[in-house]
Amino acid sequence: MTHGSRKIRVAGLTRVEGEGGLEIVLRDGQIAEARLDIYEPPRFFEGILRGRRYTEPPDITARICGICPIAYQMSACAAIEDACGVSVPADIRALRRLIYCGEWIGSHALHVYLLHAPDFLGYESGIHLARDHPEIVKRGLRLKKTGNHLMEVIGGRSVHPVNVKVGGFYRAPSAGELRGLVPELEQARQDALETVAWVATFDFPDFERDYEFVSLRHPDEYAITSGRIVSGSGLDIVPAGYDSHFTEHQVPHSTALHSTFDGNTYLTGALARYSLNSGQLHGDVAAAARAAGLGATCANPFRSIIVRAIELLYACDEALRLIGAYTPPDPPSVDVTPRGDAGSGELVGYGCTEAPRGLLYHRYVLSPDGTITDAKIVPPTSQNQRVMEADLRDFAAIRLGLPEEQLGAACERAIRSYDPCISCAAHFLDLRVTGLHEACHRHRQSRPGRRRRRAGNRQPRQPGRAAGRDGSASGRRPAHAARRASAGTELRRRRVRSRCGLLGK
Amino acid sequence: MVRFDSRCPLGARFQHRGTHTFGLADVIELARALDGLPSRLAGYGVEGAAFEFGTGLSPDVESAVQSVTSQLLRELNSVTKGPPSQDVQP
Repeated sequence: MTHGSRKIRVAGLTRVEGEGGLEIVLRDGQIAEARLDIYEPPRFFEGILRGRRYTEPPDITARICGICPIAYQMSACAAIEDACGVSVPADIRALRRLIYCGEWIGSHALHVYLLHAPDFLGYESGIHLARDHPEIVKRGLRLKKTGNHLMEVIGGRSVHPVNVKVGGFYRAPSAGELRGLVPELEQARQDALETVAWVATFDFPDFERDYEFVSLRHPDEYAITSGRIVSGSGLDIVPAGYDSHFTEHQVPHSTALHSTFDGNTYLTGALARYSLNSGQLHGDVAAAARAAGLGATCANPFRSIIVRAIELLYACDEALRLIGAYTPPDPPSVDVTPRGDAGSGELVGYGCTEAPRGLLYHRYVLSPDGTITDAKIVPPTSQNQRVMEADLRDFAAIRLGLPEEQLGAACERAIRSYDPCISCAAHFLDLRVTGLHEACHRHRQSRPGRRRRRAGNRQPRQPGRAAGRDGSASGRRPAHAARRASAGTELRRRRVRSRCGLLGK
Repeated sequence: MVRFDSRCPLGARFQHRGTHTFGLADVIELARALDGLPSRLAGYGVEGAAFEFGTGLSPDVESAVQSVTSQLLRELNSVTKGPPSQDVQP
C-alpha cells in the first residue's frame, strides 16, 4: 500500500476451475485497475497440434479440459470436417448432440451445486453445504452422475471420451443401451426441475449489465453443436467469419489471451445463449424459466445460476427426446479425407460449438496430405476475461465502503458467476518470456509463495497467421524452449503433477 | 510416504489442492458429510522425487515402495485374519 492507494487481492480464487486470482488497485479512493490475474502455466496445445495428423485433434484437444472435453472434440471435428468439405448425416449429428447434452448436464450440475450455490447460502464450500443439507447435494451429485453416465455410454468414458472421431464415432451405441438411460434421465429431469425452483429462491445482488451477448444460433433448435455466430447488436456470421471480427490480445497479467469483438468487450456463455435464443425454449422449460422469474433475456451475472439450471433442464429434455428418436447410425462415421493434392495448397476449416461456458472456436490449417500446419483454439473463458474485469470494476466501485476482507470475498463471488475455466483459457501457444528472473523476483516479493511468468508480447494475434516454427524471427520462443525456461520451479512441477492426477487434466 | 485412514478427518496435511481446488481429501470429506464412506478406507502414497526426462526411479522412492508394500501386506493380513489395525496415523 502506498499513500493514497491500496490494493485488494484475492491471491487464489476458490471454487473456479484452474488457478487464478484477482486484484483491484485503488488510487485516491477510486478504482484504477481491476484485473483477473490468471497465472496458471500456458499449456501449448496449439503448438502440440502442429505436425499432427488431421484425425488427431479430437483426442488431443479433449485433454484441454476434464469437464468439457466433448466441447473440444465437437469443435475440432466440425473444423476438420469443414476443411475437408464434409457434412455428417443427421443421425450422426443427433448422436453428437446427445453426448453434448451429457456434458452440459454434468458441467452445469457441478457449477450450480458445488461451485456457485454455496455463495448464495453462506457456506464456505459444497462440503459445508452437504453437512447441513445432504439431500440437496445428493441431488446435485445425482445430476452430475447422470451426465457422466450419458457420456460414458456414448463416449466410452466420461472424462476425455475415446469414441469420438472425425466423421462421427468409432462405434454407435445400440438403441437398447441408450434406452437403458431413460429412467436415470427422467429422474434427472425431475431433479433439474427442483433445481430451478431451488435456485430461484436465492437472493441476488441488483447488478444488471449492458452486455454485448455473443452465441451460436441455429434456426431449428437451441444451438449446441452448430449454428451461426450472432450477437445482440446484429452480428450474424458463419464460423469462418470469426477471425474477421474477433481478435485475441496478450496482457501482462494473464497467461490467457483476452478477446475482443470488433474492438469491444462481449459476453459468451449461458447468459448469452439464453438471451439470444430463449424463444427456442418451449413447454416445461419455458414455463420453468418464467416461474423462476426469467424474462426473455437475463443480464445479471449472479442470476446465471438460474439460467444454468434452465439449461440443465433443457439438456435432460433434449437427451430424452434424442434417445426416443434414436436409431444407430450405420456406418457410425463417414469418410473424411483432405481433398487437396500437391498443387492445391492448404485447406482451412472452422468449427464453433457451445461449450457449457460458451462459444468455443477452432480453426485448423491442413497441408494437402492432411498434416496440421496451424491451429487456433479460442475457449469461452478467454473471451469473457475482459467483461469479467469490467464487471469487477463496477461491482467493486459501489462496495468500496466494505471492509477489505468482505470486499475481496464479494468480488471473488462475482467472478464465480461466470463459471470461468482457467485451465481451458491458459492453453495458448504464443508466449515470449522476457526478464523472467526479474519478473519472478518482483513477483516473489509481491506475492510470497507464488511465481508466474510475464507474457510480454502485447500484439494481437492476427487471424490466419502461422507463428514461426522456431520463434526466433518473430521474437517468439518455441514451446519446448519456453517449457524448459520455466521447468525449474518446484511449484510448476507440483502443478503439472496435480493436473495429470485425479482430475484428468 | 504418506498414509491416511478415513476413520479420522483428513486434515491440512492432505489438502493438496488440485487444479480445480477439489482434491482427494475434499472427496473423502464430502463422502463423510453425505454418509457415503465405506466402513474402512485407507490409502498409501509415495511422493515422487525426480521428474526430469530420462530419470529413473530414485533410490529413496524405490525404498519407499518396498516399505509401502510391506505395510500393505501387514494391513491386509490384519483385515483378513484379525481385527482391524488401530495404528491410525493421519
